[in-house]
Formats: sequence, C-alpha cells, structure tokens
Amino acid sequence: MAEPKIVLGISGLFHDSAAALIHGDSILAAVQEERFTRKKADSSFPLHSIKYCLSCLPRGRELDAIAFYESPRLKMDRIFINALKNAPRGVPIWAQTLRTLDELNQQLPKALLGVLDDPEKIFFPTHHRSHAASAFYLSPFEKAAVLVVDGVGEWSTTSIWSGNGQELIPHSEIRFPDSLGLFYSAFTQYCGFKVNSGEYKLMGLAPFGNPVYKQKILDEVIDVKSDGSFALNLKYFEFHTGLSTISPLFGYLFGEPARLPKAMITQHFMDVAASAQAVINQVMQSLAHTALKITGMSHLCLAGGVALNCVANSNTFLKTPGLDDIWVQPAAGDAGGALGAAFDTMLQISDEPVSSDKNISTKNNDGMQGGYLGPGFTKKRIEGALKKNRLIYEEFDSDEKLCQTASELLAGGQILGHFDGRMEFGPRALGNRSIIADPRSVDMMSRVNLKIKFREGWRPFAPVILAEEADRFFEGVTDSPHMLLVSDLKKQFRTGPGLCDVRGVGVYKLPELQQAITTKFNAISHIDYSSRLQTVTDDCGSRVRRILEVFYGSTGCPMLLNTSFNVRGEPIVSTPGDAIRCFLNTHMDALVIGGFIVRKSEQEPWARNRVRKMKFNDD
Amino acid sequence: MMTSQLDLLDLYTDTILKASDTSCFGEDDEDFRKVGKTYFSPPGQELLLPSSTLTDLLGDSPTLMSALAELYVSEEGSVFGKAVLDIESFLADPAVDLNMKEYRARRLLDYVYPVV
Repeated sequence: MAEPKIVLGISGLFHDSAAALIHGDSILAAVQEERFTRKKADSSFPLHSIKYCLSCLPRGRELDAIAFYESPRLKMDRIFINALKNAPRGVPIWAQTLRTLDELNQQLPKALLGVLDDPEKIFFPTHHRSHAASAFYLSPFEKAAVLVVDGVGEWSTTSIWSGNGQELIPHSEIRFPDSLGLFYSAFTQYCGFKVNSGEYKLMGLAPFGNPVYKQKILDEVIDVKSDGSFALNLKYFEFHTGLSTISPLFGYLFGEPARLPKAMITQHFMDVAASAQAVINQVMQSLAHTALKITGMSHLCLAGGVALNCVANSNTFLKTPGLDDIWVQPAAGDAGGALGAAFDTMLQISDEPVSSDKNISTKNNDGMQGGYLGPGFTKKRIEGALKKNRLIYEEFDSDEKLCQTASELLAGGQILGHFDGRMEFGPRALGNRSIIADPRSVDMMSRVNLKIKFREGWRPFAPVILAEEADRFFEGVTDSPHMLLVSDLKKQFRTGPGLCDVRGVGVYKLPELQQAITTKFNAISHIDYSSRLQTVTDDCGSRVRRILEVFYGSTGCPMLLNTSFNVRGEPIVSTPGDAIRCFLNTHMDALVIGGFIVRKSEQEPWARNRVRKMKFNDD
Repeated sequence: MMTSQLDLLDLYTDTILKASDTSCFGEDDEDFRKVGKTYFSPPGQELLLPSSTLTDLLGDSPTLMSALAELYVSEEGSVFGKAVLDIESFLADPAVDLNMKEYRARRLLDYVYPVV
C-alpha cells in the first residue's frame, strides 16, 4: 500500500483565515491565523498558520499538494457580474472591489506558489465543496445528507449534497445574492452588533424577545418556499452595492432606526432578534427536511457559518422528520474550509481509497480528534514564560494532584484559566484554552462577564458536563462534544419565576432579567433555561474532563462554566505568554497552565495590579 | 502616490458602466417573489466538476483575470472580456495604490459583510 499523501489546506483573504495539514485521513494540524496575529477573525493570507502546519510535517516528507478553499476565478466572476448587474449603484464599493480582484489575481497565486512552487499541485475546490467536505468526511457517518449554508463564497450560498463513503455529490444550490447568512447578518447590524462577529449575540438576545415580527419578515424581507429555499427582497439590503449590510428601508419596515452599538437594548430589538431567530429556525428545518428527501438519507451533516447557530441546529435536529442524527463541523465557518479543501483534494489525488474507520454509533468517533489540533507547548516553554513574567507558581509532579487542587479552587468559588495540551481549532474553547468556574454560584455569571471577559452582563455562558451525566440535568439533545447544540435544563433545577412573571413585576433591562431568572446552575442557563452544552467523555482528549470528575466527586456537581480563554474582542489565547497576559489583565483568580498553578493572591502587587491594561476592539 | 477617486470613477465608467449597458440583467424593482415551488437550482458545473489546479484555472493565460476575460469572450461576448482586461491593466500599473487609508477606514465600518 502506498504511503498516504500529505495535503495542506488553506482558507483566507475573506475572513477567519486558517491552515490545516492532513496525512491520509488524519489531521496533523489545524489552526486559525487570528491566534498568531492576535487580530480577531484575521483575513490575511495565513502565513503563520502555514508555518505552524509545516512544522508538523512528518520527518522526511514534503507536501504532495496544496488546497485553497475556493476558486479565485469563479469568485472574480461573481464579483464582476455583481458589479455589472448593480451598476451604477456599486460605486461605494468599487475601490474595495478592485482591491479584492487584485488580491485574487496577483497576490493569491504568488502566495500559494511561495508555499509550493508547482501550479499542478495547487488545487481549488469550490467554497461550498470545501465546506461540504469538512462536514462529511470528518463526520462519524458513512452516508449522510450534507447541508451547507453560509454568507457567500463564489456563487453558492446554500447547497445540498449527498455523502457516501468517499464521494460527495451536489444536488442543488441557491446562489448569491439570496443568502441566509447575509439575511442573519442584516439583523445583526440592525440590532447594533458587528456583522460577522456579533451574530452569536443576536442569537443570545433572541430568548429575551417575542417573535412578533416573524410574519412581517416572511412577507417583506425573505420569501421562503415549502422546501426551505428562499429569495431575499434586495430593497432591504445593501451588501451587494454599498458599505452597509442593510438599506435605510430596513428601519422603516420595523418602525425604528437601527440600534447604535452602545445604545440600550430595548424590547423592540429583543423582539426583532427573536423574530429573525424564528425565521432561521424555520428555514434551516425545512432545508434539512429537503436535504433528507432529496438524498434519501437519515443522517445530516452541517457546515457554513449559519451552522454555528446552535439554537437552529438543535431545533433542526429535534423537529425534522426522518432525521436520525446530526453532525456539525466544529469549525463550520471559513476556517473549516481549509480542512475540507484538504480532504477533498486528498481524495482527488490519492491513487487508492483513503482509509476510513467511520462508525455511526457515537459522535466522538468523528475525525476531529476532539478539535485539539493547534499548537501545544512543552513544560520547558511554559515554565520559561512563567519565569519571564516573574510569577510565583506551584509545580505539580502529577496531573492527579493538580486536578485535585484545581477542583478545590473551583469549589471555593475561584475562577480559573485552564491552559493545557493542543489548542482548539474553530471558534469554541473546549477545555484546553478555557476559563472555568463553578456554575452554581449566584453571582458567577456577572463576575465572569464583567470582571473577566469585560462584556455585557446579560450574555450567557455554556456548561462543560460529564457526558454520562448530561441526561440527568438536560433534556433534548444531550450529546454535544463540540458545543454546537443547545439543551434545556430540566424543570427540577429551575428555582425562580419565569420570564413572563419577571416582566410582570416590571423588570425589563437585560442584566436584571438575566439575574431574575434563577436555577440551581445560574451561571450556565440562559433566560429560557437553554444551555449550549459541551459533553466530555473520558476519551475526549482534554484534562478538563479529569478536573470535572474530581469536582463532581467532591461537590456532586458534574458541570462547570466553560468560556473561551480571552477577554472581549481578543482571539482565544494561543501561547503561554498570551495566557499569562490575559490572566494578569483580568480578575481571574488562578491560572492552571501545563503542570503549574499560578494563584493571583500570591503574586507581587505589580502583577496583581495589571488588570485591564490590554486593549482590544469591542466584539 | 494615492490613486484619486476620480481615476477610479473613470475606470468604473469605462469598464463597468459600458459593459453593463450591453448586458441583459433584469431590473431589481420586480417583485422579489417568484412563482414556482422552489428557489433551488441544479448545481452549477463548477460544483459538479473535480477541483481545478492553478494550471487548469490559468489555461493559456498569464493571469487569472485574463483567463476570466477569455472565458467571457467565448461565452458572453467581447465587451465583458475587454472590461476585465482593462481593469487588470489598470491594476497592473505600479503607480496604482488602492490601500489608501480612507478606503481601509471605510472598509472597517464593521457593518460590511465582505461580499467583495
């Protein structure tokens, strides 16, 4: 049997650039450029990520191919035709149009040839094929329908595929400018959040509102057929011609101008968020149903930026007739396109079938290796960083003792930064670059929001829970290793009045509403009692599982609050130096890093007084 | 030296406006709803075919834009192709500087999904 080939996948020059290195059917490395440049969702050509991936090449091996995650020629075609079709209204984006054309025409080929100087070995799967490949080939399913839904790549914005073994076949598509991703981004802008980063805030805001505008949206903004296919009413949008995603008519339609980013979030915007979410739920469910019908499959894989909407994912899973199981690519956005492009190209260039041990029985048998695909650091590197920062720390000679101590700190109400092993690929922190805390504490949500993350006090956190205990506490979907599905906390753990009762006594502001809805796990349940679960099994690949086991043993609570190790607007920490800076910059109580624990209370005054010295743009 | 907005507008007029005059795209003010059961279309050729290499994309052309121009000449007529070649020729001028601060600042309004 021939030695498996090695392919480097690259995504970039749009948003959230990344690189991934694969060897046959296994991933050697995958990482986003933002983690190195410290610029959130960095779109530049991912030179740092490529360098890291190439450092993981097996000894004596060279790249067999490079796969870029979309076709630059096809994308230029879409940009050019869009400019023609909308002339003369595209003048405001003309300079940017030229920049992008130049980037795709000159800089991209040059940069790719700089990595591998052979144009025969540089492949360009289409944007949606890359997404579809990232969803299907890495899923645990041998056969599945694949649904890709995003903003836009080249022309496709929604596509349905069937995956069978090592084959992906496209069945149908919806093309730009009709785009569900852009539809959701429009509401993100209208509600005062940043497009392309604030979509998850819109999703988090939705449960505070009532979907009173759903029908208006369906009547005026988006026409949805019974098969889930849709068309946008372009008079409400400007993304194709201007510097805004929405047109002024958007505000007229909903009776209020767009919210300014720092303005109070009123009931109106909560209701708009709820309405947009209700439409997304409906469309995704219909699309999923159609995907199953067209392909004759009962399993579904999802990718594309819209697949990061975990509320829609769960709704789809629970309500789509004939759907037996779902798998969502953890890096569902463009970063994951690097992985998919690499797998697609691997299959195209391999002389023999690439081996695969797919098993439908459990989602942990997917090909993602827990998502821990980025850089890891040796004890020497970590200790070097601690010394360089003149920190006082304790070294542990066994993980068991360290986990015991970490658990005691957590039970004592302390907030820990946990840094261990390889960094996660994709937007979610799954334990190795996480901030963790006891979710039972009444004030933990506001402490972590305001004193650690420096973000809005109403924003919910997610739990990481022992997989075998999830059914006892949550209902609905309880198998969610990559934090891409939501579940509801069971009724017996809800302790206070519901949202209607709280509103009835005159509470309307977001943080107060959030605090008034109480449960036994206050810090991880949203106001509708939903939680974005991460379930961890004993083979999940993260030390956070062992910490959780010890914490459970001593407290009876099998879950922890888990949020990404960063402050608002900052990419997730990558190196020990990043982790130390973030630790010192916040009111975090301790840093558990490799085999060491650093307690804030034991540090010199200068180290305790460095809070909020780092500045990042708001997210 | 910064490329002036006037130069960019001249280019827009000479290429995009001229080519759009000859195109047969529909008007946007039609009812956005379409009669029929679906907005799905069969997958385009590009989704069906195996991935292209850089050599495939370039064909006999020196650059991707000129390859696109050739494609247009064969499929859409010479006006589209000429517009693309004119844009490429403009961009190839070393004096053209599109990375001006004002463009970048406008780009970073945070409300633009980067469709271009």
